Amino acid sequence: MTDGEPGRARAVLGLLVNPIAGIGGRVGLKGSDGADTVRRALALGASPEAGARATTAIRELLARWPAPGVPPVVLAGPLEMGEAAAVAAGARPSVIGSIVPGATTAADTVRLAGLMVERGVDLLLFAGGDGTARDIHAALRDAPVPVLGIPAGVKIHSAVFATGPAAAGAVAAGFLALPSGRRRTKGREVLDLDEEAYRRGEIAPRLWGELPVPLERRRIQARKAPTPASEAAAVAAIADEVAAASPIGIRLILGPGSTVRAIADRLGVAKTLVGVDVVRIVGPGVATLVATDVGETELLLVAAAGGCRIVVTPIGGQGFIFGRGNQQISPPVIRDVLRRAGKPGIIIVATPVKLAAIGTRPLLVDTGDPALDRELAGYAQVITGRGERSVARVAAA
Amino acid sequence: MTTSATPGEARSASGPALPIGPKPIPRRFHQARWDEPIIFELSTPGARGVLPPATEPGITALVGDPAAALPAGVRRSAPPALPELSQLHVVRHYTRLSQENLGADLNIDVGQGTCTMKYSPKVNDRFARDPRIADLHPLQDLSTVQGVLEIAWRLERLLAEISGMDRVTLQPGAGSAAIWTNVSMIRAYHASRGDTARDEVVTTIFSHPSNAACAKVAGYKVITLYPDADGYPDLDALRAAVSDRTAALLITNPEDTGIFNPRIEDFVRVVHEAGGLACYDQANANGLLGVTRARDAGFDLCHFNLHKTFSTPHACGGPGAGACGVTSELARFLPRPTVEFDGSAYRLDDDRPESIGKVRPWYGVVPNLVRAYAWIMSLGAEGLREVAEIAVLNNNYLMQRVLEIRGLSAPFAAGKRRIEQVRYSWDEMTRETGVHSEEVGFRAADFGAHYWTSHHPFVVPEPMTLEPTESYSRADLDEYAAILRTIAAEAYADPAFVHGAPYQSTIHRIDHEPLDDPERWAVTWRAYRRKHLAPDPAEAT
Repeated sequence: MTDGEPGRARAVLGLLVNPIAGIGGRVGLKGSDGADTVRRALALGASPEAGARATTAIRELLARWPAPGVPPVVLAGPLEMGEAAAVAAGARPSVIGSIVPGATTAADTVRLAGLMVERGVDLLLFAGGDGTARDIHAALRDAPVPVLGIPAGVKIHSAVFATGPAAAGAVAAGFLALPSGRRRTKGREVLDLDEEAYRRGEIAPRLWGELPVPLERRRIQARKAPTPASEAAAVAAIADEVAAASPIGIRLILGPGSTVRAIADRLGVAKTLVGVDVVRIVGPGVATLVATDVGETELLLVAAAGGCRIVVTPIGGQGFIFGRGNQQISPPVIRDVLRRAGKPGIIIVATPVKLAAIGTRPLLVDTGDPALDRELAGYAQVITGRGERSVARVAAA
Repeated sequence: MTTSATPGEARSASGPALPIGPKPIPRRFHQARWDEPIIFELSTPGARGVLPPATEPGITALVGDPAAALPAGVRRSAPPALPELSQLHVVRHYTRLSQENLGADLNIDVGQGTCTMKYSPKVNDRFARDPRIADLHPLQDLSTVQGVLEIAWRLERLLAEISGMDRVTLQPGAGSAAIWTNVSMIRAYHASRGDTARDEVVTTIFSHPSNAACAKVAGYKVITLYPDADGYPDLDALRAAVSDRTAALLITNPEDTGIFNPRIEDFVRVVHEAGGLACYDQANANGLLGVTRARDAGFDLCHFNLHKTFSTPHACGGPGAGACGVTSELARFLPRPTVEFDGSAYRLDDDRPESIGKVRPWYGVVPNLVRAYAWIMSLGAEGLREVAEIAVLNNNYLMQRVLEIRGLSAPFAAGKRRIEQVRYSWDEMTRETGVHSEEVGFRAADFGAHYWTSHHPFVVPEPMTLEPTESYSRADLDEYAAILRTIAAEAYADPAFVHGAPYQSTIHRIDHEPLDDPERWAVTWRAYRRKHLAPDPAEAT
């Protein structure tokens, strides 16, 4: 990762393929997690496609590599976990680690990703779906390197994927061709559904964390904003609005998500991305942290003291505001806040882009308390910017 | 050119055929690409376009320094840092830039849905450029400008008739200026009643976005309604939004989807019952002229973009013009002065104590008032209705043609016809090929066609908005549909090819990111030099 001509080191690309990613999709199994599912999918005639998608990506990367530069060193997982795809694309990869062919698991992904980080990669390109992204996130938690997903899974809800295999190759080429000091990344959310629930027809998205992804306007999934800069400005405007509308002394129960985290940032408090945190407003636009990553018990104590508001944002594209990923904000907590503050006690925030992605579908609540769900249903105002709100329909899931 | 056919070309029995075959559709097109620098980069110190003769000593002695006549506050301490070029180089520079453009006079411009420019008859330009209009000075005595005042007064009466409103102002310099004028009158109305707590304006996500923007600029909080599952404005959402804080509803109908809101009278009633005013955005009234009127649906105010509905040039291609219509109850808040006629002479009435004041100096954008007046008078009442009927017919014909294309759909209001435009979706094609709507636009440029997606945020995924107006022929619409069909076929056959477009157009892919980033945007040469041409510290080390 050193710089400077002419002794500049070659860029190093890590390539990891989850060979069974997407195998359940074509046969309608809504995912590929779990050995049983893979066996069922193969029995139903599914064929692995992740390798071919990775080949497309690497071929595009090599084709796009700006002459006369030297293409990156490719560190690949063994056999079907990267090596085969790289060779098929015309690259000559160095292979890292070992696997049992035909019997790879999530543990292989985690272990190989860890090995690649140890060896030092400038970009880790992986082919898979949300489950693979989750494994990569687990492996990189302590030492994040830039990553980019080649969409090859059934579930692609995370914002770490390129729009397609060729796009992934193009983004990787553009990113790695830059001197390391000029490569820009942005933290993007890793989301995954609970697959057991998903196969039963329930949609239960969960936010697992963030991974640094090359900043590229057009070729990353979920690009519905005009530009990342405009989306960042929209999030900042929401944070300003909530900060300005929160009187001194009030405590905010902050749910998961990067939009809510931006509010904490604006108030000068570091918030967990996936947890529920409590802050107290101590001055105009300034807060202190009361408790971090709290559970229902602590929240009940907080709510019982009064002067509380709940701040939530829809997670993922399904539009859940209660009951997915924030179950700590339980029915008794919500009821207590509603009883003391009424509906203004629940502050919903979302960027216009996120609301637009939900479109004409309602925001969803599934608190586990049907009576409370009915109470929350109807129309709610959502803060979308400074002095800007939208009216959204809320329905029980 | 030779007149004899070359070997292998078709010959008829009567002799050699002309070496001209039918032109392919879509046409072969290649745009000029000059890689032209910014004019500041072309500057050569000392170069001059015109060297006027030096002032004769006698005149200097008599007049002195003409700049001394200017107040100190408006005098520059140093000359402006303008680029220095010869006249030839200036002409060449701008001619080249003009060749790198896709104007309404050049392409089938139906791809700018919500904003498609209808044809502006050239004779109206002659009227606007006539010295009797172009040479008028706004400070002339009123007795010498009775003609232009008469045009303004008569145009006001025509627009009042078209909208059903009682009075109209022609002062705003563009459509958004007209909306801002309406919002200002709304505030003045509530203030006149001592009702100052109303600080919210309600609009819809598919309304003209200038409504939200102008209300915001005027200091209002904005509440945006999302459509119901069928794509119609959601009446229950409106009920949930209005309160004693509601100043007004600003709404477009039909919305940008081209879907007419059948409950528009209910919308107006709900807002009135909450004490708010209802303001109809008729920037685009192409499908409504002579068919329905703002006043008839109960609205208190409305506005037109003269450059949108009444054929005058768009603000980006010349000054725009807007008109606001109001009920008699709100007329006292109109910008001043108003044009009045006492049966024998026209005058300007500046004695209007409740007026919101001026929104633009003088009378308005007079050349465009002349063009709009000429356009309306050339059509007459029946002609205006025919404009709307052809605009709707053209739109529904084009809709029928393009919905035959694989991967394209028209979300919402299934089975219902659209009014004057349609917001389509390429969502299916994107999912199947990875080609995005934006890229269809890049490829359309290769065929010499302009194309637009939608305002942000994209509620309709992978959007495309087409509006044919009444100006385009059936052959034009067929050609535009053929371009889209060709691109969709390319996307399904070879998505990488479409990803690489454009190939034959001037403009290649532009990164919009810096345009949204205050650290990087540069709207002047000076800012560009400061932000982008300074040595990069990362590279300097």
